[in-house]
Amino acid sequence: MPVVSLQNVSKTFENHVVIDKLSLDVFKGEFLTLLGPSGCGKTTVLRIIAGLETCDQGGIHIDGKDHTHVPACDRDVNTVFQSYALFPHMTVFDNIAFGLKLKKTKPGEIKQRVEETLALVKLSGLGHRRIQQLSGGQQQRVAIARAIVNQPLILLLDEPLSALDYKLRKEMRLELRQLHRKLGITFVFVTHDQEEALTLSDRVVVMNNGAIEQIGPPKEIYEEPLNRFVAEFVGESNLFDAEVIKTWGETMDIRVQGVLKTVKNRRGFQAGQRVKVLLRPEDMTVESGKQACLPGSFPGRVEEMIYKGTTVELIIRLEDGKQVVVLEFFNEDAEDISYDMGEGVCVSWIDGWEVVLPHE
Amino acid sequence: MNENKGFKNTAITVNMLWICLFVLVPNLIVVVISFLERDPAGFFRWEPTISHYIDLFDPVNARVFTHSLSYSFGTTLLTLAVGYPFGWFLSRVGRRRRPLLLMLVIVPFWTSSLIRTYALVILMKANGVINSLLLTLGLVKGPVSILYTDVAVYVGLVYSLLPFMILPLYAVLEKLDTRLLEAARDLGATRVQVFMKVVLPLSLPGVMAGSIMVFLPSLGLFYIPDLLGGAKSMLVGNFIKNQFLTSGNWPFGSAASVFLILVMVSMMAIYLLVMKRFNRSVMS
Repeated sequence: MPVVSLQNVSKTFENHVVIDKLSLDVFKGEFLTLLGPSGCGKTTVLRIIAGLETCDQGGIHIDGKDHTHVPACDRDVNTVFQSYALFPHMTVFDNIAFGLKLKKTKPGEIKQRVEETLALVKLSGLGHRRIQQLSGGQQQRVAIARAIVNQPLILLLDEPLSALDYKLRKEMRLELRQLHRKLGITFVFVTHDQEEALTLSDRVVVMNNGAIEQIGPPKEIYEEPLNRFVAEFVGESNLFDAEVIKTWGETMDIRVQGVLKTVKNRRGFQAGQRVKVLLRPEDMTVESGKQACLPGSFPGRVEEMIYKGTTVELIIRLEDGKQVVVLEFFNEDAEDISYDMGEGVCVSWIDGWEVVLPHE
Repeated sequence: MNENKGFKNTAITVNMLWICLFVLVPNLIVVVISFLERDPAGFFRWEPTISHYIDLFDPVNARVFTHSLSYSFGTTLLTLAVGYPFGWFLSRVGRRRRPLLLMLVIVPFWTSSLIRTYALVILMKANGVINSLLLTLGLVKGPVSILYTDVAVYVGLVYSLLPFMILPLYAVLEKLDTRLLEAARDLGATRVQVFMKVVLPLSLPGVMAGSIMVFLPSLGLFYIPDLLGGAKSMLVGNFIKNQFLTSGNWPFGSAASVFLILVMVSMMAIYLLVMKRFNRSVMS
């Protein structure tokens, strides 16, 4: 049984549809991420789960019970807000104890649980501090502690890492995962950062325009995107127009960039259908174009070479003017990757690593 | 640049002169006179004494002060009770309607407060607007006496001073981060608890500022009790006015003035002290 279940939820703000008949199940103990561009409605979904927003249509069940009209204060759900929203007139301790005091927990138990939680978020000994005396990263930890000390059924996190610098963000990501494992609480995490979504989650929900585009484990979202939006939003991608020439069983021939390729046909495409071929930059290969390109690869010229430490990103202009991005890794076979600007190359991809999407 | 500096210096000098001449000097005169003997012929004699200050604590006179303080205290509580909900409403209403509502608070300032007090007399007198209305509706048999009661004085004081309570409260509540209220809700606080544990503590600076701005003037607004309360409700302001204009006892009136100023200054000091502590806890 899902711990949270949204059924056909719709929400409109001033004639603007923010969420359109969205249904979603969250399962106990999982780390679920809502991923999408800003304005896609992901934060609104979170707020509806928290009870800070009501739904115009549809309903919400939490732990099997109808919560559509239950106010935020009566839900077994706590939120880590994007701006932390810590109470400026209270100490760290009082901020964390806020929820427990409201539940009339005994002072001794409050003290014990707050201390335990402070230790859990690595802030032991800072309970007496004022919020203003903390760094951004520490405030973030207090915000998390204030929510988890209540041992909610579900912890909601609204872009909690977006205000931190890159290094701290990576550190916090790791800690969030450890925290999730330790606590066993269901996490629902909202982000627009695809890297965050892929590294943290058990399941990713990709949202766009108030609707769900795809739900799945990170690997599936990245490697088997259902449509162009998911493909382009999650990770970098090269998309080629193609046409199905002939199909047999799980295989088909397609014409892409004037070249005939044999690829897998997982979605039952028919001959004559127009499709898009998706290739991640790291799935593509580049050969020096000193000799004529092999059949099945596309000739082009190197337009830009961007050194990125462990990888090199090549921007290649194909003969028909299409631009593709290729990622080359340094390894024992290629200790030195070097191309001249304008150098002729042959671009291909590793067979079977392509994803064929319907034409949209 | 030099020219600018010259203008700045001139402006400051003129202002300082003005303040010295018309604020500092008269107040010093009052302080000096308060320590001189009374002279029925020429207001005061050059003979030092502190008897006027001792007289202030004479039960009859002291009662005027305590009575006046309790009036001001009541007025402050009433304006707070009326002003807080309005300030809250003002801070939460849509941005488009806000200027209009703020206007409604400020417009009364365009008319002299004395004239507005006379308008209240017309409303509240025995054959005034309110009584006519009540009689016409048949709600009362005969005219209700409102004017020349404590109620009338409170109505007048609260009406005149309400904007001084609303504006500082609005200023604080408007800046209140709504996300804090959501966070409190999220952590299990009911609406009442959100107010008591988050809104009220964070709006305390506004409550304090508004209370001071209502309490202090209400001690000195002599014409409102005069016009609305009749002779019965004597406040410090009336008391001082009477010493100067009716009894011709300038030294005693001066002593009462100085005492009132001391009360006000000590309240301001307390306010500043509290605010400093509050700011240290919230802002630093």
